[in-house]
Formats: sequence, structure tokens, C-alpha cells
Amino acid sequence: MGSVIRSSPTRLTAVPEETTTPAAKAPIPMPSIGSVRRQPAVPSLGPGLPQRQGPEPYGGAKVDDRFEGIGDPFLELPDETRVNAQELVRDARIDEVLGRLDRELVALREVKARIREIASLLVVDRLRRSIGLESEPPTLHMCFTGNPGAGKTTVAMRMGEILYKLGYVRKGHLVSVTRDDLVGQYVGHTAPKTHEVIKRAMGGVLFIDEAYHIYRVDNERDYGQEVVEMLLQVMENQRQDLVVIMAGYKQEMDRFFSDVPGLSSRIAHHIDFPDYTVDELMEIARLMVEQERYRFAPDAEKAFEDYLILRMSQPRFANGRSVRNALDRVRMRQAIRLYEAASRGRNLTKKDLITLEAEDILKSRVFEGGVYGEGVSSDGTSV
Amino acid sequence: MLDGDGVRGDRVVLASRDPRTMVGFQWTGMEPVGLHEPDFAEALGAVWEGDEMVTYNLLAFKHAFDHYGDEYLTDPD
Repeated sequence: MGSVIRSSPTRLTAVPEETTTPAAKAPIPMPSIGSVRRQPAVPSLGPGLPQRQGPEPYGGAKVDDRFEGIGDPFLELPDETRVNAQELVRDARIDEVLGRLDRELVALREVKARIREIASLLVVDRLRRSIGLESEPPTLHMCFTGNPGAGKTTVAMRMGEILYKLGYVRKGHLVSVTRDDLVGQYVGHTAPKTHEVIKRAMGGVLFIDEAYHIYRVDNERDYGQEVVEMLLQVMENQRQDLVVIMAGYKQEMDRFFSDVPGLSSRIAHHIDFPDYTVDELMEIARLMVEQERYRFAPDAEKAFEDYLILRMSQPRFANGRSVRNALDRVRMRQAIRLYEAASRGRNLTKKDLITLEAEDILKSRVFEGGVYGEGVSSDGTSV
Repeated sequence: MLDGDGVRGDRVVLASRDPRTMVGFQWTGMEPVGLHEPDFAEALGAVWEGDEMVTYNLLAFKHAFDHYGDEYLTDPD
């Protein structure tokens, strides 16, 4: 007996097939769907496991079989009891993720050390739980502060991976949003918008860039208040399903936390991302050039360093992101130079194609004074 | 588990259950983007085989997920 699943904004119901039109049929073979329903608020854990009655308390890791049934492991287990530390570290492959973070991000020693600390905390927490030692479950929500381009998003992505590998989240993916993705423009618009974002981020990391823009304390009618309330709720009640990382400039974040009581206490890890030095930015530039299969001519490196020194003192400098933008423009100038040479009848070589010359860099208007209207356009991008 | 017009293809593991983790089970990354509830995956045709949730028709599974919110979904029964 054919039936059709019809959806409404709130539920899905089965109706007789006669009421449908042929055009409405799905174009490719479909599995049998007897009772499709929307994703429920409280998921089950599959057959064989008890049905969940509500969001389960965080910290559901099972105790190892050999330690089951021990009343109080803290008192009853001998201190010499061995735990499977090597096995967990090996299986989770945390060193692999941290190694990748090391390769991807230049410098940031303190940030990497903090990530290593968090990873260690989670490993030890898992080990303690494996022998039945109960303690306050770790809070995983974080705050990353620092200027643009300092590597916050990259670290957030790796954090998601670490949390996944250690079994603290179900997916480990990163959903990056800003105020516009969360706050609506009219009454009733905000909640579904925020709900949709939270739904997408479930099982992973919700990265809110420039989080302080969500809530405008001086505007009582701003819908951001609604977003904050929803976030606070989900950060508290669905810790097993979602990790929230708020990011932005340090000063603004501090003000945001003082404006929204209860938010700071739900965030366990505050990590500050320092600006890169010129040497570090040059290291980033070399890495990017190499990744794109180019190389600097001997005098081009010095020219790029001079460029960076000038650019850093100009508005809206964004660390690694500015380096990438600058290199994109250098490549464009190289392309124009080569195109013109070829038009004049010159034969190009592989060396021509892969070499970025000093002149490709020195043509930047940053060298012409580097102020608004010259080196930097009104929107802050250098030209 | 597939019937009607469903085509049995490669076995694809969508999620696996590991009680040692803090969250009970984890998705493998093969599931459609946006799917996060196991019983909803089951409603779309995924099945548990031991500790693994699998589908034998990933294309149709993803299609079903992408269109579950559409006005009409055909049921080939």
C-alpha cells in the first residue's frame, strides 16, 4: 500500500498516495521509509541501550569491565592499579592532530601548549572514568581571543578533531558563524535562525566569530538577547552534543562577558592568540609560497619583509590572512609581468612560472606611503 | 533492509557505538551533513549491525535525508 510522507513545519504525517501528483515523486530510488520523522530533541542510542528520557548527564563513558561493580574505586582499588594509558593515546592519535597543528601554524607556542594541556586533561579524564573515578565532568566551551588572522579558526578546527578522537563529541566538525547567522531582523525570526545553526553544529564545534556583536547591551530591542539565552541554555544542557567556542578581540570579549552574566562561568578555557612577529610572518609566507609551488627570488624575500613591516603598521592588518592576501596580489603581478613578456615574444621557462620577483612585491602601493587612499583602500585592504 | 526500488550496494558505516566514549556513539563522517540523530537515521533506512550503524545505499540514504523536509516524500512500498 503506497503512502506519502507529507511534512508540515511541525510534523510529518502519512497521507494516501492518491492525493499526490506525479511531479512530486522523488527522482532516484529511495529506501523504504515507513515513518519518517523529524530529528527528535532527545536521541536514542540505538537498540540494546536504554531509551533516553532527556539529555543525559554529561560524562557517560563506561567503566572498563575489570573495574565494574567496585563500590568506591577511590578507596577500594589499589594505588598500583594499571590503566590503559598507552592504548588510549595510541588509538586517539592525538599526537597526529597536534603534529598537524604544529605544521599548519607557525609559532603560537603558548597556544599550542594550551591545546596540549586541554588534550592531556581530556585523556586523563577518560582514564579516570575508565576505572570508575567520578569527578566533575570537564567543561569544554572555550574562548579564543586575538586579532584577525591569528589562527583562531584553524585551532578551533583541530580542537574539534581532538574532541572527536577522544570521544567527547559525536562528529567534531566545525560550524563557523557570526551575528548575521544567528540574529534575525524581525520578531520571531531569531529563534529559528539560531536553532538552525545549533542544529547544524550538533555533535561538533560551534565557532562564533566576533561573538560580542551578538548582543548589543545599549539596544533593548536588539534580538541578540534571545540568541544569548538560547546559547546559555544549550551550553549548559547539551554539553554532550555541542562545544561552543567564542572568538574575537580580547577587550571586546572581556566586555561581552561582563555584560552577560553567566556566560564566562560556562567557558572553561580562555586562550589568547598573540600577534605574529615579522620573522614569524615571513615563515608563514615561505610556507604558503612553498605550498603553492612558487619560490621567492633572492631579493624578493627582503622585499616581502619590507612590505610586511610597512603593512603591519597600517589599519586592519590581519596577521596570516594579510600575508595570504598579499601573496595573492604578488602572484597576480607576477602573472601580469609574465603575460606581458610573452606578448612581447619572450619564451617563458619553468623558472619564470615559479619565481616571484622583488618587482612583483615592490609594485604594491604599500610602498608609496601606506595610508588610506594610497597603500590601503578605504575598506582597509592593502593594494 | 532495502526494498521497493532500493538498490543494495556497498556497506557504508555511518556511525559506531563505543560505550567507552563520553558520548556513547560517534558518527564516522560518512553520514550526510546535518544528520545528527541516530534514530532519525534509522527512520531513513539505516540499520544497526552490532555496534555499527550502516546503510547499503548511501546515495539513496543521502537523498532521503536531503528531502525529508520536502512537501512530499514518496514511499515505494
